[in-house]
Amino acid sequence: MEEAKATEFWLSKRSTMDQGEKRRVQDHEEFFRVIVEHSADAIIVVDRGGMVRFLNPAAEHLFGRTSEQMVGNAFGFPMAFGIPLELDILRPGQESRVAEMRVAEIAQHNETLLMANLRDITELVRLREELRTMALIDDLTGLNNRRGFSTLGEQQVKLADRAKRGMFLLFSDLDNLKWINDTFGHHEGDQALIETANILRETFRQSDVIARVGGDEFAVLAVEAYQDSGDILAARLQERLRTHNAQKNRRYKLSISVGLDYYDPTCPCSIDELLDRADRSMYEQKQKKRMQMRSLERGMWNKK
Amino acid sequence: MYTFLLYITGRRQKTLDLIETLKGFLTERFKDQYSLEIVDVLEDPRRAEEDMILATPTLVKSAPPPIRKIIGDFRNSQDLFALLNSADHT
Repeated sequence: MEEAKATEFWLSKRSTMDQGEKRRVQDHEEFFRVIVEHSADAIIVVDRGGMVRFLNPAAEHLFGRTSEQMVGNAFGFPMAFGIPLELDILRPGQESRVAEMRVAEIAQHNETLLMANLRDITELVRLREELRTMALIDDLTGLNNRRGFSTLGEQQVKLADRAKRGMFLLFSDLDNLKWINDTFGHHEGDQALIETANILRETFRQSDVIARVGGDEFAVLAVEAYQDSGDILAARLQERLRTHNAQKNRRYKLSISVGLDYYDPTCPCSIDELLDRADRSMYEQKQKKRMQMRSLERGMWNKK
Repeated sequence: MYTFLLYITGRRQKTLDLIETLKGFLTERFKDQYSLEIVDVLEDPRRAEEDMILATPTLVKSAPPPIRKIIGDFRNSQDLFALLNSADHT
């Protein structure tokens, strides 16, 4: 607003000034015009209706459009003033760019206008995404790693609380990974983990959070799930696994143990607590599997 | 009935969160008296060009009149509703 006051001051002063003063003001105006025209940052001035009034050459370059194409058209009313907003800039026939926009109010001839400064941060965002990917993605399977799961999971918990919707956490463990490694080698062990990851991708939706959270452990946060849909999710996974194992020329069958826990938005908890509960549930299932296997082996022994 | 269009670029996690947040805000405010259409400009670039969308995210309230066009990420529902109802903004 200080800048706006200064502009008003110059305009009111101009009407009463002599030739010398007018010349100095013109020089000042020319000076500021040159600064705006040579600014590396894009500058767009819009009115209270979000209509474009002015843009500098850097803005023409950023938007891939001329002043004639943009002035008088709706840019939109900025969501916030003073704080940076990240935007994808759409350019006709060209790749979009990412810009950081800051908006300030300016007063001109008793009218309040909005001045948006936009800085191209496309490269910065690309590097940021690359770093984030390196830190949050499991190299072998391409799924989220444990940190990625916690980060995305916590975001989903907040969204679920706000929307009052439930979620399911499915904790799964690839059975007999050690046996696969010992019998067929580590390359085959890695392959089994990749196949498990692919089965999870095929079973769940893109909006679900799927991760490899440990050596042979995987977790899936199925968002938008109802309290009674846990068994359906587990059954869908086992069905997908059966189809996978039915393929010809397989040297062994993949087996996955599963534990489930429901996230109830009326009883909030952290993503790590939910993960622990589903882990315990999976451990119980694994124990039952072992007991069944032992009694089956005993039965076969007795028959002999 | 309120009609909204949200223009986005791709479906990154940040954008999915934005959609989720917006749906929460709209449901809280308008119950089931609204419709929200999502336009991904990567899938439908011509639509964005025809509608003169210069950047995303852009939220357009197309009905009831007057049309409102809001640009930028909206995290604060109070700000969003104030802008949708603002008398200055036509």
